[in-house]
Parts: sequence; structure tokens; C-alpha cells
Amino acid sequence: MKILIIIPAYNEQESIVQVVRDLTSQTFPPQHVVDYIIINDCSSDRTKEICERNHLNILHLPINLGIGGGVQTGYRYALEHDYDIAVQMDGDGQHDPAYLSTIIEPIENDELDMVIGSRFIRKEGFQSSGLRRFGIKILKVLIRLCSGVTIYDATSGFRAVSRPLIQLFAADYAQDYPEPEAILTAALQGFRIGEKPVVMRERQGGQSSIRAFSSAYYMLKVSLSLLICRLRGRRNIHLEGEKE
Amino acid sequence: MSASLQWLLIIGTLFFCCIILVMLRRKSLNLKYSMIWFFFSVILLLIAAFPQIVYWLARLAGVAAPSNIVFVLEAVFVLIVLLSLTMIVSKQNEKIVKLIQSIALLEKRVRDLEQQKEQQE
Repeated sequence: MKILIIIPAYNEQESIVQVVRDLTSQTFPPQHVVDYIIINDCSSDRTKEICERNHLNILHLPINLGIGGGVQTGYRYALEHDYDIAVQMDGDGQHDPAYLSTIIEPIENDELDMVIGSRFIRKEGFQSSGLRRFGIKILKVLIRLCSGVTIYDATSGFRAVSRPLIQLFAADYAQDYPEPEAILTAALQGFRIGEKPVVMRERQGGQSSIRAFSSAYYMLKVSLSLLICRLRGRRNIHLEGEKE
Repeated sequence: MSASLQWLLIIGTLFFCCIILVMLRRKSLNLKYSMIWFFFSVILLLIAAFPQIVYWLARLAGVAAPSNIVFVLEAVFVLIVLLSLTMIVSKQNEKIVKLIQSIALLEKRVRDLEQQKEQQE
């Protein structure tokens, strides 16, 4: 099993090296080959220099694309290098690599195609502010209405996907606030999606990609994108690198 | 519709078509994107030549002054052109994203290959 950890990073100079150290110090079962790739989304701080000085495996976007375009680059990389499983993990230290096996296991056993690491199942660790939790609840209801799938932590950026979903996301991935929409896209295409409990930490540095969350604008935009995604329904997306 | 408005429309539209032709000749405009302008110019010319169309439309919409119909039509044209522009921008945005990603992926490959070569030497 070749597993790729995709770490999107935008101005993460304080945390990125520690995140990779935490990751590489993990012991994985011998059948797993675990690599990582940092996607530097045109950071304006010293992320690039720090990563190169430490010889981290990194990809530099020449122009800032935002979280969606950055993560999608990771999926394209995973497709090009024939990875079986791709895992998204934030570059700010919020996600504990100790839980990687928790979210990889259901995919390895072919029980699920997409596993979201959720803070809200056991309600342990960093739980985010009340307003954000309220917003995430609305997203849960919206996604359930649109697809019948219930995901308690739809904005979680800690998630693992199977090879067929790597292909789908490499071809088509939401750009602005992609986490909830990616769940819906996968659900509408008939993939099996589930959640596993994880404990998240408060970010060690940097800023959330959902800075506008406190405003109604984020909710409006995400809700609209979910509804449009539902309207599109099941599509035939041309997948690159499909095995005949 | 008064005769002077009719002539103004004809002259204005022809002048506009000339500008588009000049821009096309200088290649500062793609033929693909100028088709929509020509299409609307033809409609405006038709209206100027046969004002009966406007009278009929004005009666249909219950508008007292037929010239108002001409203005409404022009406003609709502008809206359609703007929408098509937004569409073009969106498509180009999608292409640019794919390109930026490809550049990053290629740059990484080049870096890896250079490193490999250095190690071999």
C-alpha cells in the first residue's frame, strides 16, 4: 500500500517542520509505504526557505490558488506517482499523525472510500468556537438533505481517500471552500463515506483557511455551492490515468 | 420611432461594426468573442430598417414609446454580453488553475531529476 500524506501549507513557517517531524517519527505497519508532500501555496513568509533548508519534500505553486487548488495539486501528484491512498493533513499542527492509521484502516480494508477525521464523535480535544460548531451543524443537515450521508465534521481537513477518489479529485475538485463540497461530490458519485473519531489540537501557527467563517458569507457561499453540486448530480467526469 | 433615431441607430451601429472590424484586423480581438457583437449589430440594423418590429414589440409589452423598446433591447444585449464575459473569465480561471498546478508538478520533477543527476556525478 502506497500512502501519500498531502500537507497544504500557506504561511506555515512556525509549524511546518514540526508537523513533518511528528509525521516521520510515526511507526507504520510494514505493508505501508508512507510518503508526504507539502504543497506550498505561494506562501509570502519563509515557508519555502525553511522547507528547502530542512530538505522536506515540497511542491511550490508559482501563484496562490487557495486551499482547493492546492489540495488538488496534491491529488494530481498522488495520481502521477501511483499512490493507493491519499490523506489530507493540515500544515498547522492541528491534526495529530497518531490518528493516521485510524482513518487509513477503513480504506485499506475496502470498507469505505473516504474517511473524515471528526472531532465531534467523541467530543474530545479542541472543539472550535460555538458559532463555528453551529455552522458545521447546518452543513451536516445540508449534506444529509442533498445526499443522505451524515457527516458531523464536514469542514475537517483531516481525511483519507481511496484510489478511485484520488482520480476523481485530480480531475474535479471544488476551489473556494472545498471540504464540504468534496464530501457531497464523492457521495453523489456513489462513493462510501464515513467518519472516525480523532482528537484535534489548536493550531500551532498560521490562520484557518476559513477566516470568513464568523460571517454569514461563508455559510451562504458553501450552502449555495452544495446546492449547485446537488443540481449537477451524478456526472461523467473524464478521469486521467484510469486503468483499463 | 422618429426618422432621426432610425438614422442615428444605423450610423451608430455601422460605426460600431467598423471599430470591431479594425480591431479584428489588428488582432486585438478574437473572432470567437466578437461574433456576439456582430450578432447584436445585425439585430439593431434590422430594427432600424424595419421599425415595425419595434411597434409590434411595444404593443406586446404595453410600452407607450416604441423608442423605449430599443433602449430596453440594448440593455438586454449588454447584460448578455457581460454574462458571456463572466463565463469566459470562469473558463479561463479553470484553465489557469490547471496550468499553475502543472507547472508546480513539473518544477518538482525537474528539481528531483537535477538532484538525482548530482548524486550520480
